Amino acid sequence: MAEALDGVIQRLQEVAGSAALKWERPRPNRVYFAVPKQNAREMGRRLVEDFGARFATATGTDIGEELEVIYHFEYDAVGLVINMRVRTPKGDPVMPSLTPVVPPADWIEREMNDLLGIVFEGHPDPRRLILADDWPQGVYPLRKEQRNDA
Amino acid sequence: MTHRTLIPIGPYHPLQEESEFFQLYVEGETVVDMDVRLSYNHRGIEGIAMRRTWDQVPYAVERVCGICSGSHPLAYVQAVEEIAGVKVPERALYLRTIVNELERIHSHLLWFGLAGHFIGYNTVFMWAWRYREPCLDALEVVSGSRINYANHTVGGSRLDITPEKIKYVHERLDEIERPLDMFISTALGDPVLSLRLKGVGVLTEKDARRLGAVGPTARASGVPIDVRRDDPYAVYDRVDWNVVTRSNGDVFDKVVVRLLETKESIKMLRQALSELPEGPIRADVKEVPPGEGCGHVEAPRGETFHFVKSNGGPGPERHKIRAPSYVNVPTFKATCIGQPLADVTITLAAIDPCYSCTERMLVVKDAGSGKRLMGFNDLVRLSQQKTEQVRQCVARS
Repeated sequence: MAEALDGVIQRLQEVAGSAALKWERPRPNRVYFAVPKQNAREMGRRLVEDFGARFATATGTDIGEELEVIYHFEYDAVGLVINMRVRTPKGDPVMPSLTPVVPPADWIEREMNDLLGIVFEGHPDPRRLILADDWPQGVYPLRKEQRNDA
Repeated sequence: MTHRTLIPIGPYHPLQEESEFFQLYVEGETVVDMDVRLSYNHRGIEGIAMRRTWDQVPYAVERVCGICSGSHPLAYVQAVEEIAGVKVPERALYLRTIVNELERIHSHLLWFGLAGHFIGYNTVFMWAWRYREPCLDALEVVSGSRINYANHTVGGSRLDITPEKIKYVHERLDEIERPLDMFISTALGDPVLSLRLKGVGVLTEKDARRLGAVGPTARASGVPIDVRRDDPYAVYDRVDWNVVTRSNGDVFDKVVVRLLETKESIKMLRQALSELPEGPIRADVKEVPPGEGCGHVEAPRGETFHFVKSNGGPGPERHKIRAPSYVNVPTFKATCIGQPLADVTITLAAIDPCYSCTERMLVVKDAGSGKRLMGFNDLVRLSQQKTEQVRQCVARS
């Protein structure tokens, strides 16, 4: 193996710098950290350009008072999954878009905008992706207050 | 004066995971721009999974895709097992490998046949699908079903396999292996196929990395990623096999990667079947504590990624699914622009999206008058005509 896992994680922490908070490592090759939303785009850029991670996808979740986005990155050489948490209050569902620096984030940010009503500021093409054109404004299927009978 | 024409391709197929609608803008014969719309058939499986129990979810997620119906449940159960810290019995890990590699062979053969059809090689279509059948028969014997195997469950496998069944699967592999060798030598050696597919729909290594492509789409462009090796699950770290890569990124290399991968799958299957250890096939999972887990699996088309969040309740609080085509389809923009129209069908097909979607191509319309110029069958015919021209050139020279 070219790089040892612990060395990779140490390098990751150095690249991420002090804006990355609350590090967790529940499994040897799974790490989680949180980042204030104003630092999210710069952190995405560092992970992809400086660290060399591959963007996998993102998960948007309604966690009650806040909306949480976990961006999932991977570092294939050691099978490491890097999870970056970004949170924003429901009253202000706006966070910076990663798409300008991480192109594969394009569709998933549009999807989270549809399903959770998170506005990704600076997204180059913020059209609907999942919902139909005639879907009512302001109805977000994955918000907790939304009743689905599935 | 350049004349720009809009070609809509889509919108949907009612069965499979991705219903897509492509709008191609062409000038003369050359594609100059394109746009993709998807989700005509969004079924809200993530939402459904969040209202099911841990054990019910695999049955829901295997219906994400009719072809990757082994990969999605496996990614999900691995994410849950990660949260619960389950130690899956050895025999179950082998059974998981067996199901998923059989799935890869049948998926790649399905793709190979359709790719042949799109460029006018209908014999390829007949042969590839003929030899996909023994593979489906083997899956039926192993799991009880040709498709939607329902074999992966949290903590292990649902159904065990007997020595007679192992013998049967070996025999089906024998039946497939020789035709596969024939496909490979034919595909590599056929001059028409080389002229038709080399240099077509090139995805450069840079674009593949920039766009986060996965699976054979990435590996044909020289990006050597494969979850089976990078983050081994099931028994991929215990069987002997190789990650197949090529460097040109064209349609030809995508054909080669997939065909050679089927051989690797057979190699893995034979080892897994022979070395299958005795023992239980399922660990008892009583509860899933609060936590988060990531499961990823190398599906035939590339990495399937599942993220599961538990709050300690009876089912997932959040379940995110990302199928491989979600990151592979955006590579079309990098591969189709600047290509002649006759190459678009095979370029779109080369990443192996859910095929039936592309079969719903509608019409080529003149953007000005709205006059119908071409339908899907015309586009396939155009592609087949180009192959015929190449064939005649080869025959003359």
